[in-house]
Amino acid sequence: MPSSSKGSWILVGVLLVAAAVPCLAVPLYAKEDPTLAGFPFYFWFQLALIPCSVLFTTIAYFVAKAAFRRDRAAAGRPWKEGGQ
Amino acid sequence: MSAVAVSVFAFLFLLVTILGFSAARWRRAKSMDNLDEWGLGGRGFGTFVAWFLIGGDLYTAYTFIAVPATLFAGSAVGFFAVPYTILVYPIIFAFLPKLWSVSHKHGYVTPADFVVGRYGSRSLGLAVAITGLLATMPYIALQLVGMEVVLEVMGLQSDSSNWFIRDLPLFIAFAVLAAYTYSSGLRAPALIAFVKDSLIYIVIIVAIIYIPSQLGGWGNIFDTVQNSFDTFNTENADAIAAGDAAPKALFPSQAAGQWAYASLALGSALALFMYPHSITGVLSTRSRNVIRRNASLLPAYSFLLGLLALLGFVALAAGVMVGDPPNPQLAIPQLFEDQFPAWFAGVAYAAVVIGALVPAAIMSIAAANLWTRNIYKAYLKPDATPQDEAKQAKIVSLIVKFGALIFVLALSKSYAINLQLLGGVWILQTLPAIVVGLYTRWFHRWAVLAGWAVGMAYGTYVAYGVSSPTQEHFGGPLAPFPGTETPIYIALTAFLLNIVVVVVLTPILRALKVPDGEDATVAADYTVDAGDEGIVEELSSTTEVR
Repeated sequence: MPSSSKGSWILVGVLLVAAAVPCLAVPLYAKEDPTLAGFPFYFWFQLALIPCSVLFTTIAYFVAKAAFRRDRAAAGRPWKEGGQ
Repeated sequence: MSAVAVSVFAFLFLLVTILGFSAARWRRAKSMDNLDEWGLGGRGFGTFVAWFLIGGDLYTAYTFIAVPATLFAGSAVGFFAVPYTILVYPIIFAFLPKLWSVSHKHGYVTPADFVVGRYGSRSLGLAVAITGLLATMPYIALQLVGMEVVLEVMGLQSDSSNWFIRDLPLFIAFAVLAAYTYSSGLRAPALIAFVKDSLIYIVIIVAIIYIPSQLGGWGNIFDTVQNSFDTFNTENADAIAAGDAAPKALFPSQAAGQWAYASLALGSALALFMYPHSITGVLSTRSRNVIRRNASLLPAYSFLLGLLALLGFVALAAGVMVGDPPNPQLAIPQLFEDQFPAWFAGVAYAAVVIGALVPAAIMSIAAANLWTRNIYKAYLKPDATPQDEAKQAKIVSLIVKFGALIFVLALSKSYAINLQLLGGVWILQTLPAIVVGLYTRWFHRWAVLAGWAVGMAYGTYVAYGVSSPTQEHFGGPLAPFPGTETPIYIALTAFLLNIVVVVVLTPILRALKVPDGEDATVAADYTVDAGDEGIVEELSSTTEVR
């Protein structure tokens, strides 16, 4: 990959890790309090992780799309609007 | 049995049957006589269709029944389905676009096709194909288990002691499914998935708002469940201490349970996209971009699954009766029966049964593709034409489904559940061949095959040794990590062993100059996209891609 897009790909990696890893830190959220609308922390925290994860993967999608096009252009194989 | 519920159910079932058969004409191709059309729907699905198809694929009727059932039964790790689906999407995002590109470039239909091309090893391809078939078959059988519990609660099963008469409604539902999968291929589940997901969404949203309001709100539900678990643990303190009963809890508060929880989520997420049916869904998309866009949109389903899982607690708080001896899998359909008006209960039943039809169709297509490409064409009839392949795959899709049906009805249900557990352990052992293969050819092909064999054997052996209060063997997915007391998902331990074997053997085989297979792919193949030369946007039977 050309150096111009290296930073973008690292950013994509960081975003994906940020989307995935928090739910594995079980000891941090396996507790009762504080409750929200009757839900113990354990349950509402994990449900709340879902939209956060969506946010990170969505940003990663746009960064990756731009980086992919730059890489292709740099390799002399410009990307054409094919599907969507 | 309520006549209203059954009528609503029958109407919705009829609707998807018509959709299933008319799907053959949807996005019509010149001919269905090849695997790209029948088995991958023409490889032309956009973001919208793919969202429903992949979602329909992953969230199966068995999930809808089994995940809440584990919470209902008081398993502290039952909620792992949520972190599991959170982990799945970054994983898809990272590696499936590469698999899409190389598969489109070379006309690969199955993951085993890719492995054969990348490693130049037909034996490794066969190993991946057989693992896929072994893991998929019990998964299809479990969809039937999901349908069966709904039919049971609806009162559609007669009391006859003859298993054929008793399960006639199940037979009819499955025969209809088999017929339209045969004629329409992957287009049928893709179209029906719209109905399935809409129904499921409506039912769950209504259930999650309406039922708790009837039960005094969520706070009250969690309190009732906690009290019920505390009572159980006090009354059964001796049995729990003796290991004859498992303690119940809302969530894992001890380190051991937390390790189990995280390892189940991670292992299942890694395994999911090794299943042939998930890869079938992904390869049917129109472009690379569709995959990544979907990876950011699909978590909407995760939220649904999380809420659905909690219905297990709702059922417990509602005092749902699940028979004697108790069968927790009846909890959700029985909750619908008890709490909803008859007509809406009919909608809910239809949602679960249609939710079984979609994945069962995709899984049988994926299994048929694997058989046809990697066993039939690779070993039995190398000169098979695309027409021969499509014909073979259609017949195999029928055999696979009826095999699963007989399996569930004639044998005990617990066989299907045990095999499904093993399926997850087995399928993860194909990850080094498929995923690592997408990034590097450093692994030696024989090392990958040896790692696979060791992982399969170890995982099966350990799973066999797990006993539970109700079962002597295959009692659960967890076993202590070697050298510790900490329970870990067996699939993950076997996978680590698999990787160690591959990494140790690769340099040895290279030093011994054992011939490594020829790689049919080049680096640029992994970044091609729709619109590139040689990548046809939407395939039709007149286009020869191989």
